[in-house]
Amino acid sequence: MEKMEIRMYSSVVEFIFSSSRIIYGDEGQPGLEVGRNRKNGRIVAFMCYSFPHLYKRILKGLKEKPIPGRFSVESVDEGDKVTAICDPRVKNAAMPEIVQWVWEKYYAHLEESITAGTLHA
Amino acid sequence: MAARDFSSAGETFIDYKGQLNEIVYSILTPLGYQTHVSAEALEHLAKHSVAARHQTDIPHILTNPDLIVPSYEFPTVHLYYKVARKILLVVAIHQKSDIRFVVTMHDTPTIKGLKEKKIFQTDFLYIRGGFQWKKWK
Repeated sequence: MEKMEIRMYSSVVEFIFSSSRIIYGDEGQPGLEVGRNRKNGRIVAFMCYSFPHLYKRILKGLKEKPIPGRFSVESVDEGDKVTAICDPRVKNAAMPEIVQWVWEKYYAHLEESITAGTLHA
Repeated sequence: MAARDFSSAGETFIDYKGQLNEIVYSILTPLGYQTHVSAEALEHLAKHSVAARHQTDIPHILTNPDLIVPSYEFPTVHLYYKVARKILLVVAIHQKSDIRFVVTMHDTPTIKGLKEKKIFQTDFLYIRGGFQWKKWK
């Protein structure tokens, strides 16, 4: 099980499970950029540019192309504050459970201000 | 260094998370709109080594990009690409209520969506003459 830190700014959400130097790229995981360790190429993070607009696509993508492993969310960095997380929902959790948790806890209440849009998606 | 516009400095806007952002400076991009860079965005970027190192390049990237493309997954997000010292940097710009602002910057091995054919040359919003975009497929 990997320890995970979640970082958020506006609609950007990062799921980081190693603090190594990360290079993000599009590897076809719907809604998510894949972050790799610059030195050894290991996957160490995921990032979404526009989480509140894409979280349903992320969840659908995780069904079709699951991200293996289980994660324990240790902290959430919202920029102005870092919160330690004790919620059992995101301890030893699979990626879809964590995505759903982030949506419910941080973005669902803002849904009315969010509009949708796609291009060749 | 590219011209930074400080006329809106100190003004605020609300981002997608409902957080108040204070504008540090603004940049007029080749697409003709102003993009704000907030103190909160700079704080976010400071947590990433590459982004932190290239923070001062943001005005140059936004005024002189090599390529601008919409994110195929959410086209109101514009991705500004610039090659700097052999690495491809991308600055992501969001729009909310007619306000555009920088949300993140990082280096990347490829232009998002090209290899997967989710984005095509006809989708490019801007390309600098001579930029070899196929090299970053």
